[in-house]
Parts: sequence; C-alpha cells; structure tokens
Amino acid sequence: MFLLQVLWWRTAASIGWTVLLSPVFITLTSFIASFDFLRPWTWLSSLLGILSGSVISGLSFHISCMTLLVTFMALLFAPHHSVRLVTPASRLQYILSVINMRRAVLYSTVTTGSALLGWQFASILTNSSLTYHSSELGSAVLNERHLFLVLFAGAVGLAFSTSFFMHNMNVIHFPIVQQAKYFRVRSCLLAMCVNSAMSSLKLLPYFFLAYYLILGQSMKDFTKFMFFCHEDPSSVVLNSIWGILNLSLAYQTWLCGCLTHILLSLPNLLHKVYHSEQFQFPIETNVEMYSNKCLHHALAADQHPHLLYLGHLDLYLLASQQPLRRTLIYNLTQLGGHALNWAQLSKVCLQRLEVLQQMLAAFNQRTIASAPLRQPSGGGNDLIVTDISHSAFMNGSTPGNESKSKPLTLSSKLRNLRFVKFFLDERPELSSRALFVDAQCHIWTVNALSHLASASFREDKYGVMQKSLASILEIMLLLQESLEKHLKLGLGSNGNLSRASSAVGCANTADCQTVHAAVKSALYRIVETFGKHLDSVELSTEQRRKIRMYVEYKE
Amino acid sequence: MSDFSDLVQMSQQLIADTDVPRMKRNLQQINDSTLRLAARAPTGSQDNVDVKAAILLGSRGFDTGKVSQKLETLSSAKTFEPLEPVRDTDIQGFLRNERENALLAVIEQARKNTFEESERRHWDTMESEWEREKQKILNALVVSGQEPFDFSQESESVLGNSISMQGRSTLDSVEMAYSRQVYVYNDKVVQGGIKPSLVKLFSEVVAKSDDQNVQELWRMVEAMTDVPLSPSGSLVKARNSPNMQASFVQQAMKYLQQIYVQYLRNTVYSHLQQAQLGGIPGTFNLVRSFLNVHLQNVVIAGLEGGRIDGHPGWAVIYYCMRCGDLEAAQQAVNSVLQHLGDFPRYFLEYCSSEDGRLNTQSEREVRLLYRRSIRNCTDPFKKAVYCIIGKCDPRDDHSEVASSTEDYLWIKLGQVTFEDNDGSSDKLSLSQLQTLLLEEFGEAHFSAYQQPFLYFRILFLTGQFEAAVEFLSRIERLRCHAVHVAIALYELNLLLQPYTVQAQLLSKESAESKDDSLRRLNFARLIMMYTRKFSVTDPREALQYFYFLREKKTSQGDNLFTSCVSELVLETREFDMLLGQLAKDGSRRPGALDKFKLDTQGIIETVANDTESKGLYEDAVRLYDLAKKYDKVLSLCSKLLSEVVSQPPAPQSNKDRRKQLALSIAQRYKEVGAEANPAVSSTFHLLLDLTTFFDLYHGGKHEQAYKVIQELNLLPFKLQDVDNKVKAFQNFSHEIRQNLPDVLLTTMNIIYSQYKTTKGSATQSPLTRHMDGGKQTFINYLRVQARSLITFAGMLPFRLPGDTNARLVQLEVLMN
Repeated sequence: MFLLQVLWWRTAASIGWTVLLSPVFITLTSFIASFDFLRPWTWLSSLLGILSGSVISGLSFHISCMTLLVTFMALLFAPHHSVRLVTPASRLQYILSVINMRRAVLYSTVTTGSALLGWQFASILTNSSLTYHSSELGSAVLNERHLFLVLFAGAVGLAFSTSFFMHNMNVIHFPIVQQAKYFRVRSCLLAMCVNSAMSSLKLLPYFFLAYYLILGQSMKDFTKFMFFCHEDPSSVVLNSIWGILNLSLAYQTWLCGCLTHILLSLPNLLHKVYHSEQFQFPIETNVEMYSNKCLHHALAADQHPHLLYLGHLDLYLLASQQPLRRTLIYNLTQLGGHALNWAQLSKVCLQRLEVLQQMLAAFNQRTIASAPLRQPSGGGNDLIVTDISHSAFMNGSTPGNESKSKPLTLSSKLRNLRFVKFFLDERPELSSRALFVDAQCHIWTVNALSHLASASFREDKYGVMQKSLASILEIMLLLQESLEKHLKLGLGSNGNLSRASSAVGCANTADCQTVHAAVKSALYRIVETFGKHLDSVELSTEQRRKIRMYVEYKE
Repeated sequence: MSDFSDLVQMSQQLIADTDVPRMKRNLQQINDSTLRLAARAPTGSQDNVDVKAAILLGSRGFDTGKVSQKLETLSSAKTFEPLEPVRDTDIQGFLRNERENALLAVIEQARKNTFEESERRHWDTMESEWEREKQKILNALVVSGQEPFDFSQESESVLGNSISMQGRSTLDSVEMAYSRQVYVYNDKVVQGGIKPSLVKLFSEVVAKSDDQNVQELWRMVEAMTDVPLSPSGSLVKARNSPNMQASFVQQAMKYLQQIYVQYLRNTVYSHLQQAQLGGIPGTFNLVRSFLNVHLQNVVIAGLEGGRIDGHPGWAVIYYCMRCGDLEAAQQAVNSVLQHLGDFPRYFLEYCSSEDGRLNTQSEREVRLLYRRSIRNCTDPFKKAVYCIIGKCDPRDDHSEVASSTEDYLWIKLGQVTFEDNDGSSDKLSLSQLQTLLLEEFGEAHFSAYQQPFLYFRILFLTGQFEAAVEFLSRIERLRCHAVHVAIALYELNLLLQPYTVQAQLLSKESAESKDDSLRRLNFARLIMMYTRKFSVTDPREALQYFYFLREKKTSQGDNLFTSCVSELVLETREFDMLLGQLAKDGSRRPGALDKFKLDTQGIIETVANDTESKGLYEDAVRLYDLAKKYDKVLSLCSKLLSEVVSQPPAPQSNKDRRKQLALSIAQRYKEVGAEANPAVSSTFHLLLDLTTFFDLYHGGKHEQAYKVIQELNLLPFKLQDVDNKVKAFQNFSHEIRQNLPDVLLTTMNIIYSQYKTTKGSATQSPLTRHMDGGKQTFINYLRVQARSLITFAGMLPFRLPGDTNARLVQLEVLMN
C-alpha cells in the first residue's frame, strides 16, 4: 500500500543512522578497552596515534565488518516490530509464541551474528586471531581467550533476542510528549548504555559457570576440530578454577558483551523513535497522486496497524494542537459546499467507537449471562475471540488466537491434569484484554473528537460539527456506560498485565480504565465548552439526564 | 353444470349396469308418461297440505284431528251475536249488556294490538335482516372493487401486491407485520399483564419499512395520543372538554413545531455555505442561519422590528416561536427591544402564562392595538406574531407567512381558545376550526386523494381522529394503516363510536348536543371490512382482529366477537383449526379460539346454532358435538338419518356419510358415557337400527332383516299386538313416523318374499312334502303377520301415502 512507503523510509533512515553511529560506539569501546590504569599517558598517546590515522586504517576493516553485521541484524529485527501488544492467552501459548519457528531462525541468526561481532571485537581487543602459530608446537594453536569472548558475545545475542520478545521490546510505544527525534534519542542513549552494561554484567556469572561446567570443553574440542589446531599446553585452561579467576578476562568479556548489546539495542531504539514520530497526513488533497493518502484513509487502514496508529495519533494531535489544520476539517468543499472532510473523518471515528461499544456491551451481556457458572475465564472467552476475529477492526490483530482453540480440543481428561492445566489455563484478565488491544486508538479517537467538538464552538464557521454533536455525545455516553459496567463486573482490572509494558513515558499501557478516564474527560471537555447550549442538542431523555450529571459535576 | 348430452350419457350408463331391456321413447311419450305418473300421485292439493300439516304439527305433539274439531266447534256466531235489545227499565240487562260490550271492546282492542305487534315485529326483523345483508354486500363491494376515483393508485397497488404476495396469504408484508404486533398485544392482554403500548408496537413495524410518510404518520399518532387519558365516563364529554381539547392542541402544536425544527435543520444543513450556522447549537442560531438561506431572495422591504444579525426582527421572533422555542424568541426580542414598542411586555406575559393566554386586560389591549394599527402594517411577521399572542383575527390566513399547510395549521391552532364561546366572531374554538377544515374546506380543497397523508394529518392534528381514519381507510393501499391507527386509538379509549354497529362507517350523532361536531367511527365495521379481505386465507389473523370487538354487541344483542367468529368459521370452514378438534377419547384439542380464554363452549354453541339455522346440519352436528350439546347432536343426527334411512346403500352417498357419522358418535357416546335425553337418544338408536334393517334388506339378506325388525318391537306381528303398537306409535318422534310407510312396505315385502319362497319350495322339493303341515302353519303364520300389519296401518292416526296403502293391501291379497 502507498502509505507503507512512509514506513519504509522510516526504517531506512533508522538503519542509516545505525550505520553512522555503530563505528563511533565500536571505536569508543575499543578505546575504553585499551585503557591502562597503570599507564594512562601511554594510553593517551596511543589514542592520539590512532587518531592520527596510522592505526585506524588497521581497525577500519574490523569496524566496517561489524557495521555490516549490525546493519544485517537490524534488518532482521525490523519486521518484528509492532504497535500492538499481543498477549498470549495461556502459558503454553506464551511459550509457543516465544519459540516459534520464525523467531527461532531469528534467534540463531542473531546469536551467530553476535558471535561474529564478538570475533571482530576480540580481534581488536586482543590484537590477535582465534588461532595463532606457535613456534613451540610448530602448528596452529587455539587462542582460548579469544574463543571465550566470541562465545560470550553469542550468548549476549541470544539473551537479547529472546528478551526482545519476552519483554515486549518489539512493541513500539508512542510518546505522550512530542519531542524532536534528536532529543528523544539523546535522552534514551545513556539509559540504553547503562542497560547494556547491566545486562552484560548480569549474564557474565552465568556464562562463566556454564563455560566451566560444559560449554568450555565442548566448544574447545569443536573449535580444535574445525580449525585443525591444538591447545597450548603452557597456557592456563580457562575452564578451570584458575582460568576463570582472571580479572582482566572478565573485564574484557564484559566490555565485549556490553558492546554487542549496545550494537543490538541501538537500531532497535532508532527504529522505535523513527516509527513513533507523528506523521502529518493530508486532510484533503486535489492532487491525484495523494487522493487515497488522506487522513481518513489512514484512520480506516485496519490491515496496517501501524498506519492506523499513526493516523490516530495525527488526528489527536491536529485536534488538540493544530488550529490551522482543524479549520481544514471544518471547511466546506469548493464545489457544492459540503462538509466532506468532516463527514469522512467523523464517520470513521464514530464507527470505531461504535464497534468498541457494541463489543463491550455484548461481552458484558455474556458475562452477566454466564455469571452463575462462576467461570469468568470459561466458555465465554471462545465467543469473544471469534467475535473479535469477525470484526474487521480486529482482523489479524491476534495471530495467536486462532491456534488457541487447538489445545482446547484435547480430551478433557488431559486438560484436568494439574500440570497440563497450568499451561493451558487462560489468564482471567486476558478475556477482556482482547477488547482493548487497540485501546490507544480509541483513546486518541475519543480525545480527538472531544477536542474537535469543543474547538468547533468558536472555530466552526459553518456549523459542520453541530450536525454530528448529538451522535458524538450519544456514542460517548453509551461507551461510558458500557465501560462502567465492564469495570463493575471486575473485568477491566489490569492486574499485573501491564507491568511488562509499563515503560516510562509511554502511553501504550492503555486498558479499560484508561479508556474510561479518557471518555469521561472527553465528555467533560465538551460539556464544559458548550454549557447550557447543550439543551438545544437533540438527545433522548435518558441521555439528557446523563448530560445533566456532567453539567453539575456529579458524574 | 351438465348439459343434455351429459344427461343422456348418464342415463345410458344406468341402463348399462342392469338387465332392463332397452326402451325407446320419443319426447311426446315421455311427456305422456310423466303426466300419467303425476296423475297417479296423490292428487288433491288440499289433501297434501293436510298431510303435511299433520306431519308438522304431529311431530310437535298437536293432535290435528282434535284441534280441527275444536276449531270447528268454535263459533263466532254466539260471541258476536247482536245482543238482545233491552228495555229501559231492565237495569240488570243493561248492565250485563254494558259489561259484555266492554269485554268485547277489550278483546277487539287486544286483537288489533296483537296484529299490529306481529306486523311490526315482522317488519323489524325484515329490516334488520336487510340491514345485515346490505352491510355484507357493501363490505364485499369495498373489498372487491377499487374506488372509481383513484385510477392512479390502482396500478401501483397491484404492483406492490404482486411483489409482496407470499405464499397463499393475501396479506402483504406490512399487513403481516401489523398482524404480528396485534397478536403480541392480544397475547399480553389475554395473559392479563400490563398492556403494552399499541402505538409503540405499530411504530416498530413501520420503522423497518422505508416509507417516510407512514413513519411520519405514526410519529404523529404517538404525539397526539400522548395526552392525559380520560377517566371512565363519557368519552364524548371528555373529548369535548376544554382540558382534553387544550392538551390535543398543545400536542399538535408541539408536533408541528418539532417537524418544523427538523425542516429548518435540513434546510440549513443542505446549504451550509450560505447558512453560516456557526458552532453554537440552539434555535436562535438555527433560525438565524435559516433566514440566511431563506430570506436571501425575499424582498425585505417593509419588514420592521430592527435588525438581528441583518435579519428583520419580527421575522426572527416569528420563526423562533414557530420552532416552539420561546426562550430563543425572548432572546430575539431582547436584542431589538427598542424597535418593538409595548410588545416585550406582552410577550413576557405570554411566555410566563401557562396556557399561552394573556390576561383579559392585556388581551383587550393587544386586540385594540391590532385593530388600530397592526392590521394595516406592512410586516406580515409582525401581524402573525400579534395574532398568535392576542389570539385576534382568526379569519386572516397569513398567507405571506404561512407558506405551507402546516404553518397555516400551526397559526390556527395557536389562536384556538377554549372558554365558552360568547358568540364573538373574532375568537376561534377548536370545534369551529374542525368544522372549517372538514366541512368548509374539505377534501376537494386539500386535493386529498393526491396527498392523502397531508389531509390525514390536518384532520388528525385538529383532533378529528375518526374522520381522519375514515378518510384514510377509503384508500385501498393505506387502509391497513388507517385500521391500525383506529385500533390503537380504540385501545387507548380515544375513539368515538356510534351507539349501534349498524351505523355508517363515519356518522354524526346529531342528538347529543348542538356543539358536538365530532364524527363517530364505526370501529366494528372498519375491522370487519378490513378482515374480510384476508379472512378466508388467514383466519387466525382475522380472529386476532375480531378479539378487539369482544366488548361490542350486535343490534340483536349478541356478542359481536362471537357472531364474527361464527361467520368466519362458516366462511372458511376451518372448524378444527379455529374451534378445536375432538380427539378419539372425546376430549377436545384446543383450537385458535381457545387462546383468548373466553367462553369457548358458548361461542362454539352459537356458531353451531348459526350453522343449524343456515341448514348445514352435518357441520352443526360436529359443532354441537364440540360444544358437548349431546341432545342437539342426537336430535340433529336423527333428523339427518331419517331422511336417508330407507335409501339403498351406496358408497360415497349421503346415506353412507351420515351413517358413518352417526355410528362414530354413537360409539363414542357409549364409551364416554355421555348423558342425553332418553327420548332423543332412543329415537337416534332406533333410527340406527332401522338403517341396519334397510341395509340388510337392500343387501338381499331378508331373513336377517326380518329378525331385526321383529326385535325392534316396532310393528305388530300378531293381531292382538296391534292395539298396543298403535298406542306405542303415538310416542314415537316425527323422524320415526316419517319412515314408517317405508318400514311397513319393506316388512310386507319381506313377508311376501318369505311366503313366496316357502310356497315355491314346497312344490319343487319332494323333501319338504313330508313337512307339509309345518309349511302350512308357517304360511298361515305369515298371513297373520301380514294381516296384523294391514290392520296396524289402518289404525294409525297418521295418513299413509295412498300408494303405500295400496301396495300393502295388494301384497296381503297376493298372500291369500
């Protein structure tokens, strides 16, 4: 689709910056690595020597190799980013989602890539290669220290790629505060470095242990076999107690892991920053080329969640902060004087809210109906899942849901086993969670509508908005009612679910409560603006009564 | 129908089966033989009549002979003999004379009265019967034929019908949906819960259709029926009471205002560019924007009242009032206060008054002001506003302001006053308005048939529900809506109805009071007219509609529901489905009627009665059976059987069918142990036995038939029994007596044939010769029997057909 170009460009830009930034990090790290506590002056002079260009040409091969590797891995990660937080329904599902085929390929590739990174970096660090020619033995000898670094880098790669999915690092969060990309990256860089250092440090002891126990010997044998080399009998073997208690090795290993982690996180960070940036869609256009690239197209792009989110973000921002673009919405078309822009936008928005409201109402209904059974996570869930997959809005949102029914069809005997149950039982809070997969969009929609409505009080010259005011209020009141019921039924509590995704400064942790709060504040915003004029809006008696409550601040 | 060739064929078929030799005759010969046969039949017409009278009266227990004797002995000669002259001094004689004179006079008077009375009753009955027939014919005509005037709709409705015709039902989809709601409603009523709102139910039906006009119609009905309902008491009084009239007017105005606001909105929204509505909701802005669109082309010269956002002040005030938003009007007034003179004061009073009236003093001032200056001013809006506030000059049409009929109606309704009319011509009462619209303007003025909904709306909004419904019901394609509006009104007790169901569809009770201008709608007739269309194909639905008539009485005082059901049953012949069905064990499986939890037995009985009086005896038997009227069942059965008892049996014949029916009834009653009058019951069983007897005889089983007749103890077979049997004969019912000649003849035939066989066998068979003595005894025995039959026939106080007697005697003679 046309608008995907936007996303392509953004991915390309983020990778470009990765290419530019990676050498800097590699160089810096290698400097830090070569720092000599005992002879800082010598270090400084060698640093100057490098800067003068004689050594850097030696490093440049390694650096460019590493940059290439980083770019390759960034490209691998790119398609795994998503705007929707997918929560698997059961533990088994969760495990399956972590180790599915596509991801397993990614894990292995990233592990290998990281190991290669480690190889290059180790070459820089130790100024040697994996094997060297020993004059004593007269044959190639294994550099075990080098091997150790390579293996650790691989381990970091594996740890990173698994935690990438386990901790939902692939979810793109949209910042509440809009900032320039530079500032966002800058503010995140330090945190990223610290995070890398910490994770590298955490991994280190485990790796040492593993190397000591099994990994060391096997890998050494494997390498010796591969490279036709022997072990140096004079050097201390690393998978021994003495070999492990080597501080400089630990330091170098940590530094190597640190760099690998940074080089893996950096493209991830840049990708997220680029992709969560606002994109200003045209509201109307006379240019043929853009005729299907307007805001309302993005708002209706259900097949492309990312576009959908960008569209909604843009709508929200324009409604709340951009008066000039707002007037475009309130304007009439040149020909015929119709409020086409508003009609298209409001249609999409109202429909979105209506779908949510109806699903909520149906869900509440089912919950109430099945209440005496005391099975909040029971059969009702299947229904809602199928419902959701029917709805166009939710299409393709939860790939895990389709396969979910398969384990459920196993014989009930098997399912009742405690062990199996542990894996198959659905987490109760998830049933309603599915409704709020796109809660962020709904919040943006609600806010955008309320901002547009309240701005129309002064800005809307033609009364474009007035026509829809009743339906906006109506759907908001209905939604509010459904949400309240949902909360009262105890379905909307987020529990510890959002813990994983509660990254600071991000708004994606939306659930029932946040939507509820958003709708409420949106209603207050409208009521506040229109005041007594709301009496002239065509509403039913019941709705009028509810609006009264808002006017009197009793809600 | 068969023609002559068919007849010929049939007669040839008859001959083909038998061995009768063919005989050829020409027409003349046939004629001759017919005449001969006719001559042989009992000739005296007087005789015939006598016999018939004897049969008729005899069956009811009259002894014709005695009565005729008594009649002959009665002589008027004595009674009316001139009284013998009395002398002047004969006081005794004089008094007697006077007394007798008085007696005579009284008798004469009574006789005259009786004649008059019977004459009158006769005519009454004739008349009511004619009325009923006439009604039926009229209803049938309405259903079958289109009105002659709406040719344009004919093609349309035909098209509509052909599309929506589904299955065998004649109801189209809308009517079907309506009838479903009626069913829902009736169901709730029968269960005795809270009655749902019929208006709501019917509105749901049209909400699904895309006919804007009809939706609008129901919205209006909903608005107009939203009035405080009249407590029990005279509906006529309530409808004419100021309170109710005021609330009707209020609701009507509210409705008109609502649709006007909607109209303004639509206008504004379709001209957003010109309207410049702005973001602030409210009537004031709406009116302003509307004027931006509307008044652009209108010359505003001569409009007064300053300018509000460039629009003339009076116009803004008028339109705000037209929208029903007095607050907005107040806002307008406030913004051009200095241009309006005294008006703001009056307007404030108008807004704060509850009934929209100024106090007397102010009203007088306003009227004076109007007459003096405003009437001649150039601003039509100003005039209109003053007219509404002061309720003055109701004859002005305000045609410059009121561009549509709704506007006109709104202004007029706004001017209506409710206090007693003191005859002043410058006040308008609701009834005056009603008369004006219905009678003076009428259908022609509003070209009602071109725009039926408009005319309906005018009538309905002025509280003339009956006239409105009647008008709409005249249009074929809209009749179903009219009927259901009427039903909804009827259930809300808002529908005025005539005192008799025989009245015209729309009538006016002139006697009630002189200012009662309201029409009455014959609800029952409307329902019957509507249901006639589909009662044959959808009797269940029709039944639901008849249920609304359950509290009405026919002119004969019967329940209208019952009589409608009876007619429906007779017409559709869906006995089982409507009334229920008898199971084998005698229990009744409930039919559609049972859902209403009324007196089903009683209704079935009525239906049975009607069926019987129509002469459909076999159906009547079934119905009486359903109603558990065993006596009636048996007596009717007897009547049916007696007509066919002596006929030879044939499959699929009347006799066969009736026999089966009677047998099944007899068997069931025996099993269930149904109690019936013993006399009726015995007649019935005797007839059944006689049927068996004749069947055996016709089947050639003479011996068995002979045994049966002997066991029946009906006829004397010994001479000494004759007297007893003759006496016993007096107790037999008419049905038995009627068949007696046949029974006698048949028995005689059997005896004769036995006689013949006995005699014949004697001569042929040598074996029986030894038993000659026995044979002779038997022959004698048969002769005695024949003799006693003859004697019996002779002694009967019942004239047998001449040829029967002759045949009997002939046979008896042959045996000697």
